[in-house]
Amino acid sequence: METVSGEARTKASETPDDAELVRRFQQGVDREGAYRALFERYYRSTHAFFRRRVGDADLASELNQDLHTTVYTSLARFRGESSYRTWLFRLALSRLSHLRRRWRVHLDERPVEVDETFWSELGSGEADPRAGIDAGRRNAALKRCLAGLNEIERAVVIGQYVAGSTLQEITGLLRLDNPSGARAPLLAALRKLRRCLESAGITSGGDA
Amino acid sequence: MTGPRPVPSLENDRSGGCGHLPAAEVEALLEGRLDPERQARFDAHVREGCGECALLAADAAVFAEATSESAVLTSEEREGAERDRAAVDRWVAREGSRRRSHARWRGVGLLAAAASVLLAVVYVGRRPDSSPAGSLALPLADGSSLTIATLPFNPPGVQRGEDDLSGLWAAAGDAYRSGRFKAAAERFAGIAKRAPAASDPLLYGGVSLLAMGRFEEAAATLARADERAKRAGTSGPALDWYRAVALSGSRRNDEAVPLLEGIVRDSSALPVEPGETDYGKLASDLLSRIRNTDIRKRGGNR
Repeated sequence: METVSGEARTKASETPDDAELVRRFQQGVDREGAYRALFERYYRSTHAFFRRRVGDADLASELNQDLHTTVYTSLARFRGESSYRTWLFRLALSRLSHLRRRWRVHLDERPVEVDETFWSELGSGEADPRAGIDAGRRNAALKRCLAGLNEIERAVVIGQYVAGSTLQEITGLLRLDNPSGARAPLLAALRKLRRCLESAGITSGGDA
Repeated sequence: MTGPRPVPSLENDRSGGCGHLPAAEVEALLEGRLDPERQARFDAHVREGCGECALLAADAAVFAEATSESAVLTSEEREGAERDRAAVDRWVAREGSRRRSHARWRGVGLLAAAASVLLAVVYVGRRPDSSPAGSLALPLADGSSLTIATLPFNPPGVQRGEDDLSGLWAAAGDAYRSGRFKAAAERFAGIAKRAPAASDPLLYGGVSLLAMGRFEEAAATLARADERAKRAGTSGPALDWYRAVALSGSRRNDEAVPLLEGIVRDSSALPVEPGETDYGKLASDLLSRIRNTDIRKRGGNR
């Protein structure tokens, strides 16, 4: 692994801040150079953001490229009511939101109605993990924990335990091309959910 | 206990934030400087079960970490980012060239643009093939399949509406031409939202879905394209052809056949010019295949 902190500090001392670059772009003062500087400052980070939130390298690249081409065409209309970084975040979120709606993994205020098998396959010990836990508290914790998964992991869990799809169907729907298909992200998701629900006091971890 | 309690709203202000957190506080959340009391209320709101805000909190945490000065990226992330850099560099170079060309001709071309719109309305079905086309496999009832060429990409030369969509068209066209149909479909959908009267983005989006074998979604998208095209008076054989392909791929031959017959009928009235796609012949061929497979099926069921 390599850090980007050294590069970022060097760049910060040599080039103007985000607000100045945006101003130059909008006023047509070395527009291409201003855009390039902003792009160089953020493109690696935004790729990492999409990679970590989506869980797929190719899709992360598509979203990242789309984000930065949108910046080029939309920066003229940025009104500066937030920082550039925040604006970039909201553009990135809109792309994620579109993906979530397409895959139907967007979370909202409605409860997540998981199949009964979810709790047994979570493998959290002999006792029923839900015993004595308020349904509302359990559902709220489940939603928080689902939000922490990447998009593919969440899609696989929701597909398997909410929509009742088979792993093969989910593999096809998400176009997963790894040899294990949807099984690998499902196992990873269950591990993360187990840890998250234990820390929320919803499941006992097997020793209670 | 009957079930989860309704989640209390954090704010009534839905101006630009997630719906529950105002836009100004999204920035503070991202930068870790939300007022402690507001942070506590937000955390409680997430604990109470707001999925949307749980996603926002998770997204903000990952974004803040990835864009911080002390961010540590994996080698895979850096490699992926370099690929993105190359792709965006190419796009910006192309876009810059298009914009310079646009600026030169904008003042002179207003009247010419109006004439182009009129010609495009009349000739939209007769666009010459100008870009390399992919292909898709249309499954038939007898288990065989028919290879169908995708629509060659021909970006509109005239901007309709207030927004300059040329950049979006270029990005979508890049994806389409290089066979990245998933990305292309998403980008065309984005253009369709920004240009609610235009049918072309829905046409290309529908063909992208066809190329991915998503026939039913393609049929729905192309039906919307048809509605817009009819309102604008820009219907043509290309749209009808791909609608028919989508319907046939969705096992809705009863709807596909009248469309195909209409294409054959219309094409007999106008000769096909060199370089044009002969949709009449394509429709006639597909009609024959559909009817032959239907006959074979009926014969097999006796």
